[in-house]
Amino acid sequence: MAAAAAEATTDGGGKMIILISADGKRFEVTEAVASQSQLISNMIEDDCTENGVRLPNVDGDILTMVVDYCNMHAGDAAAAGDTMKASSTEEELKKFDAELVQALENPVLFKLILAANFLNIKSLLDMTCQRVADMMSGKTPEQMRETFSIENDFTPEEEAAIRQENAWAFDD
Amino acid sequence: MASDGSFFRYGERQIAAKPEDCPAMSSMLSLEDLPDALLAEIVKRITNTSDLKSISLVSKRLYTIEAEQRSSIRVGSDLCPAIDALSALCSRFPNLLEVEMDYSGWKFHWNLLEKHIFSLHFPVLRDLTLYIDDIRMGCLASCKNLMSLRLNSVSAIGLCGLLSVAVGCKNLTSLHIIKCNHIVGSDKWLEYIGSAGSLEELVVKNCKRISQYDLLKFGPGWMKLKKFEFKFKRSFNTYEPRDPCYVDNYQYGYDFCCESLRDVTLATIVTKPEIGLRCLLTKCKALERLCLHYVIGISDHDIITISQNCSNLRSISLSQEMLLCEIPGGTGVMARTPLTDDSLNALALRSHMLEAVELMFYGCAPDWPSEIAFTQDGLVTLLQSCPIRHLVLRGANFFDDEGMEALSCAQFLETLELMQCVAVTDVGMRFLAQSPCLKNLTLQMCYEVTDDGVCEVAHARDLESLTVESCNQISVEALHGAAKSVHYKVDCPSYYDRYKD
Repeated sequence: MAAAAAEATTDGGGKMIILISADGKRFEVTEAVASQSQLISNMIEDDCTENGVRLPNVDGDILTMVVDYCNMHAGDAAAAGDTMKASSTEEELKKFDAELVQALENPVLFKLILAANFLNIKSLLDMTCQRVADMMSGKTPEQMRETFSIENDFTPEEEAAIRQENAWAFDD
Repeated sequence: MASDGSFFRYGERQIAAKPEDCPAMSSMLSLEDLPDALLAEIVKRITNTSDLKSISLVSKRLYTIEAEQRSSIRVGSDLCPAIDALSALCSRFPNLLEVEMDYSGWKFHWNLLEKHIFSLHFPVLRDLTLYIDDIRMGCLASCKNLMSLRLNSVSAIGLCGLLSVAVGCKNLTSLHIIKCNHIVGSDKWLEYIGSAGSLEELVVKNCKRISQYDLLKFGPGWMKLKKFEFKFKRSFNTYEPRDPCYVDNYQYGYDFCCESLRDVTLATIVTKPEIGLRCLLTKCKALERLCLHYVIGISDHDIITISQNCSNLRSISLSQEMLLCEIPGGTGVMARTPLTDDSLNALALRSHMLEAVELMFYGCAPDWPSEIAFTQDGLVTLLQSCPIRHLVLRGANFFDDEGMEALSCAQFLETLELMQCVAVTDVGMRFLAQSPCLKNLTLQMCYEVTDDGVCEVAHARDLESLTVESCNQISVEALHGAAKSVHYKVDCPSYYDRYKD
């Protein structure tokens, strides 16, 4: 998977920068790819990426996914001259995105949300939050607690009161 | 490391922490380890009310986050005791933008609302829909941000009525008044909103005491209005009285401009030349969408004027029924629909933007196609001249397979709805299979079309959607897999509820 990052060196996206994960893994990506992260984009602007960008709260596995995602989506954001990325069509991107989030185990999905938020990659944050929202929809409160291992901290009385209040508002 | 405002500072807070302290590094990370702002991002994406209710019951934290995110509620007479319950709901959801209350048939002291509900709890309310028997409109005046107000079946509205709303809610841009028989059009509110307000959308439907002549008092308000819809409840053979302000040859009351008006619907009204809302048809220059449904008194002359004035007309919908019309030359009268091919020809000649056409005919016998004054030739000319993408024909007895052949050459046609078009057969459907852009097809009460005809179109065209209702020669089995989405019904709703709400 690090190969995907290495590949990026060959497609002429300009200057390379190094991203370093919490567990010390190094990823070399073009500035164009990395700039999809608003955080890194700002750092590039401020010229503080010389010695690599340390990301102490994104671990290697997650950063691999983020880098894959950014490589795949570089075509959206980068200049139109980037012919290699232009070849990934909209449909391929959709398929890639769907496969990326569908396959994730819960803890990994949440880590990816935190990473997308920290790195400030809006499209990735949208997609991952939407995935959790989709997992919630159509479930009863009990099923939601089970899916996300959440403890019920309501007393039976409190729960009854909320149920009554909920009944007042109409469904769609 | 500037944030763009829409993102949260969670990351920046964490960046200084040691890696092993970060929740992101824990393999047991759960939903509850996400910060509130991110949980809100997730909850915000859920729109289904029953899902939101479930979320509120999962845990205290999710209850709070969901309550803060909720932007719209609909409540009704299940609320009991109403005021307390409403107060409870409103304080639970502090950020409501849209509220719909359905209390039709209920009687209680709404003046409590004034103190307890509207002034306290709706600081940001933008959109309010009320189905309430009795309400003092004065209390709404404290909703300063109100942009859209829909009143449905509100029968008593208090002393100052809509005038206080008009004065209090300066941002009101959309006002819908539906079935409110106690709102009197001749009161001052309409004049006030017209002169001081910023209304862009005005819809008045089935209100006994607001006549088309009252609406002419809207005066300068017409300048800003973009969308206007007026429907008057009438039964057969009842005619509105003449405009009380109208004096022959003195058109003071009709001296207004409506240059922003893009969308006009007039339904079930009676107009006479020169008086009433018909004058809109000669004034609008920016019109893009026009619906005239059972407007008695309308003639070819009106449509010709529109085709001359409104170069941006994109959509036209005409519903007609049989009326006694004078035979040209003054040799008597005959029963037919009032608009003729002269209207269609005028649109064909000048309306180069026309994309959507809906022609509906009621009460005309299939055996007497001449009861409809439009002809197939007239319609074909229109189809050949305008870039029609959406065509709806209902009860078009004059339209047969030859018309379908012409239709198949309409190169922009994407959506075709044929309802009660009894002269269209499988032969016509075969022509349709050649139609280059057809994506959506609806057939309703087309008794001559069979499985063979509809399947030929469906397979040739790779349809997005196919709807078949009440066509007794088409079976549900034949439609299996015929389009990406297929709707089939054995029957369909009656057309005769058209005078209902």
